[in-house]
Amino acid sequence: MTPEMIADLKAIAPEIWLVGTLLVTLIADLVIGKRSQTTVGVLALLGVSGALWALMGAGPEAGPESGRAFGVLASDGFAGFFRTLIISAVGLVILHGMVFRELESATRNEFDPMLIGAALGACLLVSTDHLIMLVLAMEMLSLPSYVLAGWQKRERRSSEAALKYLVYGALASALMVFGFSVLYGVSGSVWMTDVGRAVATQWDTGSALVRSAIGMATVLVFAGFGFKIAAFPFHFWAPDVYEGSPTPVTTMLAVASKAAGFGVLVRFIDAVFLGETISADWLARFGWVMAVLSAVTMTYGNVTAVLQRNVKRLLAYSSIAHAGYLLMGVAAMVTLSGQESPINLGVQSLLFYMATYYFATIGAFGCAMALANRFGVETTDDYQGLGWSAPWTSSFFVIFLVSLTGLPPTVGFIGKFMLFKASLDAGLFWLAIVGALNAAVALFYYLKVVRALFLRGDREPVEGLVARGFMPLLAHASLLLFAVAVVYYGLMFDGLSAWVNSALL
Amino acid sequence: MDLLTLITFSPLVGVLAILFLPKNSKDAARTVAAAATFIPLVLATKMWMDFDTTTAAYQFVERVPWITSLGVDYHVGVDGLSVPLVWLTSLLLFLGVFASWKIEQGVKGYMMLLLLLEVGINGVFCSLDFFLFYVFWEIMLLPMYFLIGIWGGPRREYAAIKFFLYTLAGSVLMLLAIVGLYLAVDGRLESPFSIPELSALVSSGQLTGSNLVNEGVLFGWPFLKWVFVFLFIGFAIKVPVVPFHTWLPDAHVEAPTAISVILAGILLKLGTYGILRINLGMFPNVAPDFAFIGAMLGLIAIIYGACVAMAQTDFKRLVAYSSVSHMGYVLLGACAFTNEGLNGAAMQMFTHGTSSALLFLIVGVAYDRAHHREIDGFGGLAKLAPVYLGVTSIGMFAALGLPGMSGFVSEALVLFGAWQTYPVMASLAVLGIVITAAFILWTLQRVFLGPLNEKYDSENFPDVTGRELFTMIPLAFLCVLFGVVPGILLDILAPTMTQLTAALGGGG
Repeated sequence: MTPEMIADLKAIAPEIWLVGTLLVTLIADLVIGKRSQTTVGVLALLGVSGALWALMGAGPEAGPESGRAFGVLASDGFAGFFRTLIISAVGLVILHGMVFRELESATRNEFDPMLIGAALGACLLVSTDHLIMLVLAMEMLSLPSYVLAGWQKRERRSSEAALKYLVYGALASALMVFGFSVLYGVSGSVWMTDVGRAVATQWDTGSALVRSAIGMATVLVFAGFGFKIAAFPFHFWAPDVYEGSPTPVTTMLAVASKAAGFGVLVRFIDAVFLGETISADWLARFGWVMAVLSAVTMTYGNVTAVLQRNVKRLLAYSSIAHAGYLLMGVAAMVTLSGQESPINLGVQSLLFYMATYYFATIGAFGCAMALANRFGVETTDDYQGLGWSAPWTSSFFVIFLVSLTGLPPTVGFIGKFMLFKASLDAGLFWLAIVGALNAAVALFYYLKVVRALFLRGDREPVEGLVARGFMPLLAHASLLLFAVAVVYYGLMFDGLSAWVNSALL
Repeated sequence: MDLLTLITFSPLVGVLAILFLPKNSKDAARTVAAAATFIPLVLATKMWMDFDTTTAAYQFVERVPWITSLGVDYHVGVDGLSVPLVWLTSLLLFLGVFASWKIEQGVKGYMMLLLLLEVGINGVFCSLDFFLFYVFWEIMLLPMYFLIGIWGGPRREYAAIKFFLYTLAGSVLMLLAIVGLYLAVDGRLESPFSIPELSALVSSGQLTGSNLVNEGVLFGWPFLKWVFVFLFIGFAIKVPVVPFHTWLPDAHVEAPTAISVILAGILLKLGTYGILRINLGMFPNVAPDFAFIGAMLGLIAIIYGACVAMAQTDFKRLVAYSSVSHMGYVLLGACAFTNEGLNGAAMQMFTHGTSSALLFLIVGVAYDRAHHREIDGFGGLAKLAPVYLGVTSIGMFAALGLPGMSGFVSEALVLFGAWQTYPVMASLAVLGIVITAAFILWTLQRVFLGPLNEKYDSENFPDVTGRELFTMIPLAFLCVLFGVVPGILLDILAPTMTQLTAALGGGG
């Protein structure tokens, strides 16, 4: 093997770990799956930890000299940032899924390989700037997700979720691939940077037909990305799928899948539309469209979340709203890209917000799972008074919801602060005001959960199912750790900023 | 760690201690809370003693870098405006623990939230960094939501969420203003959030926001005007100034007694503190544009609050609306831009803090015994509870501004100050005093005088207990003390207010 190949392999060591884990867990399931409920899960966890360890071990200097492995996988800090979020999120989902059982035990063991497969796809998706690789990675993420959504196959709503997800997903993929083919026609290349150069020149000099082709391709490609990030108007699948899927899957879709979607969206926009030669006219239009999408998405998500009683569904709509907030970062990134500045505040704020969203959302779904497992509760009506029976889990839940609202002293506040900073700097004053007022709306429905937990009910402790053993302890410890992290990073976020700044494109 | 850090964060030790107490240890939790609020009270007293009243500079300043990536410092310090308020906070929280002694459900949680609340309030008064200020400002919200929402009256859910939503809507606007200021500083300050340095930069006219918006004009208004208005709305909701006041009566009526005391005594002052410190102190070049509107809003609050209070049948609601009226004086005095007006405003913040807190304790005493708050449901209580009548009279006379009581001095100063700038408004404000006197005397009469209501006898309406007296006597004492020797308070306020008056270009 040449040194180049070894460097390439080192750069994708986390993915190799994931593939290895995938195979090991599949075989382990065949050999001992029937006898042991936990072995496969523990193996999967170990494998994911290995992948994370490989990722941490590989600094940016460890990557190949060209900056990309095997020509198609960028090994930059940006990819590292998203891969860390994705892999650790999937690890936590596996852990929570094991402990807070919601899955039919007979099929429990195939669940982990599926999750790992989706994680693999997501990791590839955020690394690549090659359109064909992008399509492959997108499908690699989507196909296991469809299966996972329908995991509880005897449950009607789970099957419905899977079918809905599949139909919408297939359509979105088809549109996206069609968009790519148009871009290929315009540029004659499948590399994002080449496409970007061609788009820039064609937009300035090309005929009306070419210009409209570029416009159409943009819309089509955004249908594909918009589907993954559940942005308005491509969000229709999200509430049903989030509610119908088992909660671990919902967490995966809301965090890992959404992170991957934003990762590829930002990389695509940066490479294709924000090249140095693109015209200011295009930037202004594009930034405006993104700002409008952002405002509509967050407002829609928040306003509809107000009406929900089912906690999973409430969190689903809230995650649409958060997609809107993240799009605020995209809008700022596009608008600011014309300015001379060492760092793009838009990208910075988006990455920061992604990290805060990751902590709070995994935590919130984890608490919902813990309560559901212990008391069999699902709606805010069922939650009444549980704060007095499960004070720790409920207090953590409050911390995560406060962070999602964006109040100090939690990290969610810093995320919102960064977003407002970026959008004000970009001159998007109205967007910042819409975002700020949305926080007040969001508070209202997050408080519905808090209110049910602590303000209502007869406040007498109820007996619930208490799981004992090492794994449940680990799962609860992870919730504690996240709650502490949410507050700690809310007060001391220099470390988080440094990490984000090392991950900028 | 220096004095202000200790004052602010010592209650956290109590939070941790209570967290690790065994489940049903109610008395232990109460005792720990009392001890944890006593420490800041002692330290704050020491601070008042050691405070140098000859200078307007910030004292007891501590400054360490906190978040280097944004240039945020942990920067605290106090001046004449904040010292009395920090002391009052520490006192009211200490008394609040005793006023909550009868709470039986979830004592541990209650006391922890109360202590967290104290951290937030004292933090706001001590902060000299805008970022830190905002963090403390928001830290107060969640404990307050739970304290009203869990331990409140029948409509507690509604009251708690209304309080939270109103305040949050204001504070997100404030956040936008802070971010806007930060961007407008554009690297010209090493600590872009430092309140003294920001004030200097803004007052010198160098900060216009022209790097953000074309020529510093946004939608037809100068950038700084927008910042000013956003901040003002955030603070005005907290005061509350009249169009934003509707959360207040609900929150007061539903909150448990101790929380009403803290709400009226301290939380409302945060709004006016913000207006004085930030709106006037930081934007002396913008504030004159809004002085008339501000004074007008103050006058409306005075008259409207007093009239609505007159119409109440619920004792607690009456006191709540009288707070709206009394906080109007602060705004009117502040917006007059005269030395008397500003001194009166700052003093009124303190005197209203003592008298309204006392009134809420008094309402609490009646409610604990009668389990209702209908003013007409009492009557003749003077016979049953003479000591109660005595304390109540002090609180009520202080509230109506009887000469010799603290409320008289501050309201008189406000009116003198306002007269120089807005004579018509000052004359109309006198009307507010008349209405206030009317409803307070009428209430006193309905509750204490006349024939004894047959429902009550010495069994079910005993006179005040020792614990209740312990919470009320210090406040009653302060009401009289600052009425007789207002100099104690005015001496400490004067240098800061003189400096503020000079910055605003006012006379007097």
